[in-house]
Amino acid sequence: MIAVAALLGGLGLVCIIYRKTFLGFLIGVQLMITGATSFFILAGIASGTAVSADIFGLFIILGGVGQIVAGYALAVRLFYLRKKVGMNDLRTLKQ
Amino acid sequence: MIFWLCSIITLGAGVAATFIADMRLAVFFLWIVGMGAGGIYLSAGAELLAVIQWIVSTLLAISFIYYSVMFGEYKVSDSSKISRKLILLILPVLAGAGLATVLWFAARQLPDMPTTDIFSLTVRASDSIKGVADLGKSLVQDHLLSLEILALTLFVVVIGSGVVARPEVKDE
Repeated sequence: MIAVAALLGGLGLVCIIYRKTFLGFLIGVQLMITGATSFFILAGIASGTAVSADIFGLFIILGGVGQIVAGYALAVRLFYLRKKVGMNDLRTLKQ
Repeated sequence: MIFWLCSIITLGAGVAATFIADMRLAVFFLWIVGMGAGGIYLSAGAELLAVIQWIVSTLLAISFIYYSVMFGEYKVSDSSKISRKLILLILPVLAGAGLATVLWFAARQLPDMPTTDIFSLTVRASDSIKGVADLGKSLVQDHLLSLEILALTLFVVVIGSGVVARPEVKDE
């Protein structure tokens, strides 16, 4: 069952590398966060520490929300500055 | 049974969210991933996390759809050669497979982790969660400082995101 969480995390990494837009990058980050949360919860259940795993899972989900919101703000900023969403030629967010 | 059904749905939607070209469909499949992950948590006895995961996934999917609609550009046109495209596809897949393999083998080394029935979902009765009340009590009694730091971080993120995402106003 841990394999499910591991595969989700792997898919997130694939998405982060494969996608060329900022929104695709954020989708990959969200996939990785979901994989990490699943990993903690399933590992906690399998090893008999379900309460601690649930608390860590809660922190990961809410911390991930903060990370995604900050990334979303950067994506909006990128569009205001460059009028596009691609990341290939992105080096700086200065004007 | 429900665990494996949710797992298959989650992984299938994850593959679609990773590779599908249309960004709106990718966001939709990301939402399916969140729903499936919530189902996994529910079948594992973590009801509170399942509900939180469903709410967070839905709100994120809605905000991503807003982004796609507002800023219009759904995908980046790629005019590179097929061989280059193939390499750019194979390399991420290899990296992802490597990460998944490392995580899976690392999980087997965790203390108290059963190595024989690693494919089965068995909640140990000694530490199974008796209810949300236990979780809340443990959260407030043992992890209060972490909770406060998380709350402060989310507050700073909300204020900071508003500052970062504001449109540039040039002085007259």
